[in-house]
Amino acid sequence: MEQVLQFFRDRPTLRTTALLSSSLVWLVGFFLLPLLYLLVVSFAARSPYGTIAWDLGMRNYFRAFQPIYLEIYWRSVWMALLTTALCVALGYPVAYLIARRVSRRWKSALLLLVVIPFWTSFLVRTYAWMVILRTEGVVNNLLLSLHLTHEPLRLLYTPLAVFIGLVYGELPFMILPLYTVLEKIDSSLLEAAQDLGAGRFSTFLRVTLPLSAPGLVAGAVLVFIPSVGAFITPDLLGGARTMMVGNLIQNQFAMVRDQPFGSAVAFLLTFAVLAVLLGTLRNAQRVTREIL
Amino acid sequence: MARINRGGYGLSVASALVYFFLYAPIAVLVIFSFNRSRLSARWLGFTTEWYGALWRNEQIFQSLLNSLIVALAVTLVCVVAGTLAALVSARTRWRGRAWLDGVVYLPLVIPEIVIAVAMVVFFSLVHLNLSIWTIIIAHITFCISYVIIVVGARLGGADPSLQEAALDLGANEWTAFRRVTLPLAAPGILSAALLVFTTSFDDYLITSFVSGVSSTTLPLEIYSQLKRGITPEINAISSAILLATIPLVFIAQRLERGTLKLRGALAGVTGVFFLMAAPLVARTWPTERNLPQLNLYMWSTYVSPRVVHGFEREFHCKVNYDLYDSNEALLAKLQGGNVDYDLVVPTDYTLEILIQQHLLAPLDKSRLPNVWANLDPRFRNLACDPRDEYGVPYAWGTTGLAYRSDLVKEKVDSWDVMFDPRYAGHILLLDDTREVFGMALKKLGYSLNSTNPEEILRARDLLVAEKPLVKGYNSSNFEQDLVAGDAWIAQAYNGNLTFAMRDEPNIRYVIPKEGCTISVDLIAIPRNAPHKELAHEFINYFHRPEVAGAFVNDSGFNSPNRFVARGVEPWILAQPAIFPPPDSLAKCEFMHDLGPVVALYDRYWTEIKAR
Repeated sequence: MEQVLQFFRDRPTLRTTALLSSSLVWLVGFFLLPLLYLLVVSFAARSPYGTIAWDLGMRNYFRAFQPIYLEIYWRSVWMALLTTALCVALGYPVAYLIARRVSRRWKSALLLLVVIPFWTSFLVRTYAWMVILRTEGVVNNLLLSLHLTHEPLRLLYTPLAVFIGLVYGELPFMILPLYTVLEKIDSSLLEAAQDLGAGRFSTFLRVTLPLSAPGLVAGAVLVFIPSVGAFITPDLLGGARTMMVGNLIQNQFAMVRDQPFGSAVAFLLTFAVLAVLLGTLRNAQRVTREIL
Repeated sequence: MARINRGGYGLSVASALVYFFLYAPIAVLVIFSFNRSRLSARWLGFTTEWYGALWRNEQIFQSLLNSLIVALAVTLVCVVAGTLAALVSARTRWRGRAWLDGVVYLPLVIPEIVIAVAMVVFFSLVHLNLSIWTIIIAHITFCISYVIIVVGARLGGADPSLQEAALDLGANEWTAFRRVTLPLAAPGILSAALLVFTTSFDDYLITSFVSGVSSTTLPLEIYSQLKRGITPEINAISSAILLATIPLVFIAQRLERGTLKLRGALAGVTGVFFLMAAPLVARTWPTERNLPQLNLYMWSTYVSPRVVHGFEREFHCKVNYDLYDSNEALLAKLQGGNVDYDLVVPTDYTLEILIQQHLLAPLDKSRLPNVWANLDPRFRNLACDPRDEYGVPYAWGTTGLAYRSDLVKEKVDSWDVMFDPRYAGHILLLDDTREVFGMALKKLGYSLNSTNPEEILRARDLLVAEKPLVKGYNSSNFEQDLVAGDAWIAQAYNGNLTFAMRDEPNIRYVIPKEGCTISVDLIAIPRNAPHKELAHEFINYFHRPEVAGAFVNDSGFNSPNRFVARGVEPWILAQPAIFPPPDSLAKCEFMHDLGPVVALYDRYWTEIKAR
C-alpha cells in the first residue's frame, strides 16, 4: 500500500491521469467518438433502402437550409422561448415566495413539493395531461357541467397542449436556480432601497430583479435546451402535428430512415445550442459584473 | 420588514395556482388508478382491480426489474468513476482543465436526442448488439457528468487545509481520503447517486433508441401501453412508484440541508430500496431462468398472453417480447445489424425489403406442417414472398375509414369525407407514410403502389392542402381518440377497432369505394436468430386453429388460418369490419416495396409533416 502511494506521490501528473482515466476514457470512447462518427455520417447519403451510402458531400446541409426546414427551426425556437418565458412568469413568484416570504419549515416543505413531480415518470405525467385535455376529458367535463361552455373545447392535439406539456415538464428547472439566488440576496439591500425612498415595485425592479439575473439565466438555459430539442411532448400532446426539430430528427431515424440527413440536422441543432449557450454565459458574466 | 411583507397575499395566490398546476396531473393519475372505467375520463365508481391486474402483469414486472438493474448498474459505475474524476476537477490546477470541463459539461448541454442518435449509429458501427448492456452504456454516458459536477462542487466548497492537516498529522493519502475527504464528499455523492438513479430509471428517449432483445425498461413498457391504451394499470404502477419515491426525495432534501446524518440517509435509501425490491423478488422468483429463451419482436397490438403462455407451458421455454408500432421502427432496428431477435412480424412490403437485404433466414418448410394444412390458400404465394420461403402470414387486415355515426350524420362510403372542410379539426390520419399516401393516391384514382413521380407529387399536393383539416397523426391508439370523441373520422387499421366498437357502438368502419390497402403481416426468422428451432416451433404452434382463435380474441385482428372461426368469440365473428364479406375486398390492393421511389415518398412525407 505504502509503496503504491509513494509511487503516485512522486508522479503527480500520473496520479491525475489515473484518477481521471475511467471517466475520461468513458466520455471519449462513448461520447466524443460517437459524436465524431455522427458528424461523418452527416456528410454521407441515404441508400435507396435506407442504409448509409458513403458518398460524402454537403447535400444534407444544403437540404437542411431549405425554407420548409427553416420553418421548423424557427417554430422550435419560438416555442422554446415562449416556454422559457412562461416558466419565468410561473416560476418567479413561487421561487420568491419560498426564498423570501416563508418560515424555514415551510421553505423545505414547499421546495419538496416542487421537486416531487420531477421524480415521477415523465411519460405518465404527460399522459395524465392527455386525460385532462381530451374532448371528454377533465377540463371539458368541468366547463360543461358549470355551463361555462356549450360545446367542448379543442384542447388536445393543439399547440396549446404542447406548451402546457413543455412548461409542466421544465418548470422545476426554473424554480430551483431562481430560489437559490433569491435566497442569497441580502435583506439589508432591500431595506436600504426602501429607506432611500424606493417603492416596493421599484425596489423589486432595481434591486431584486438584477440581483436574481444569474438565476434567471441559469434557469433559462436549463429550460430552453430541453424544450428546443423536445420530441415526446409534441408527439403525444401535439398529435405529431406540430413538428419541432426533435421530431424532425427522430423521424429521420425511426420513420423515413434517412440517417445522414437526421445527423446533419442533429449537428445544426447542437451548434445552435452551443452558440446560444456561449452567448448567454458571456452576457451573464457581463450582466453580473455591471451589477456588482 | 413589515413593509416588505405587504402584498404577500397576491404572491401566495399566484404560487398556490402554480402548485395546483404541478399537482393536477398527479391527482388525476392517482384518482383514475381507482376508476372502474377502462377508458380515461369518465368516473364509473371505485375499484382496486387495477392494482390486482398490475400484480398479475408479468410484462410490467419484468420491465421494472430491467429498469432497476439498469439504474443500479449505472449509479454504481457513475458514482465510482465520477467521484474519482471529481477529486481531480475540484483540487488540481492543470493545463487541461478547461478542456476537461468542456467534455464534462457537453453531455448535459447537448440535446438528448442528439446523444441518442449518436449512440445508435455508433453501436451499429462497432457491432455492439443492442441489449440491456447498450442501455447501461448509454445511460452512464449522460449521467457520469452529473456526479463529477455535483461531487466536484461539494469538494470545491470544502476547506483543502483539512486534508493537509490530516497528512501533517501522519495519515497517508489513503487514510486521509477515507477519514477526511470521503466523509466531506459523502452527502454530495449520495445526492448525485439519487439524481443519477432517477434520471436513468425514468429515461425514455435514449433508451428507446438503444434498447434491444428483452431489454424493455419500465418507461418503454409504459410508452407502449399508453399507445395501446391499457390505461388504469399504468396509473396504478405510477401511483405505486410515486409512493415509493417520496421518501427518497425527502432524504435527498434533508441531506442537502445537512439536517440528516449520513448513516440515517443510507439506512433510509436502503429501506426504500428493499421495499421496492421485495414485491419484485416475490413476483419474479418462481420463473425459472435456465429455460430456453425465444425473443419476439412484434407489433404492440399483437400481444396475446394466451398464445405466449400456452407456448411456454407446452415447450418449456420462456418467451420474451419487445414491441414496435411501425414497420419503419422494425426496419431501423434490423438494419443496424446488431439485434438478435428470433422472430419478427413485418408487413408484406417490409418483408420484401428484408428479403432483398438478406436480413431473413429461409424457412425450413418441413417443420411447419400446421401452416401448410391450415393456411387459407388466399394467403399462399403472396407477391411479397412468391414461393413462401421467408414468411408465414400471421394476421391480416384492411386500412379503411372509421367514423362516429352519431357525429358524422351522412352516409360515408368514400375517402372524400377526409377532405371535407365541414369536418376540419376532427380528422385523424395514420402516422404512416405509405398508408397516408395510399389514401391520397386512391382518391386520385391511381394505384397505391404508384412509382410515377407526377402522381406522387399530386398526392403530396392533395395532402398538403388537406393538412389544415387534420387534427393529428396517430397510428397506434387512434381508436381511443374515436371513443373519446376527439376524432370523428379516422384512417384506421381495422383490427385496432374491434374492442373500441364494442365499447362505443357508434363507431363504424367502411372500406371506401375508391379502395384501400389490404395487408398481411408475416412472421419471419431473422438471419442471425440464435434460436431458429424454437422459432419454427412457435410458427407451427401459432397455426393451430385454437391458437389462431385465441390470438384473434386477444388482439382483435383477423388470422389467415382458414379454420380460425372455430376458436373465435361470436361477437367478433359477427363484425364485418374484421371478418368482411370477400367481395368487399375487390378494390383493395396489396402494398409493394417500391425500391428507390420510397425515398421520394419519405421526403414528401417529411415536408407534409413539417408544415
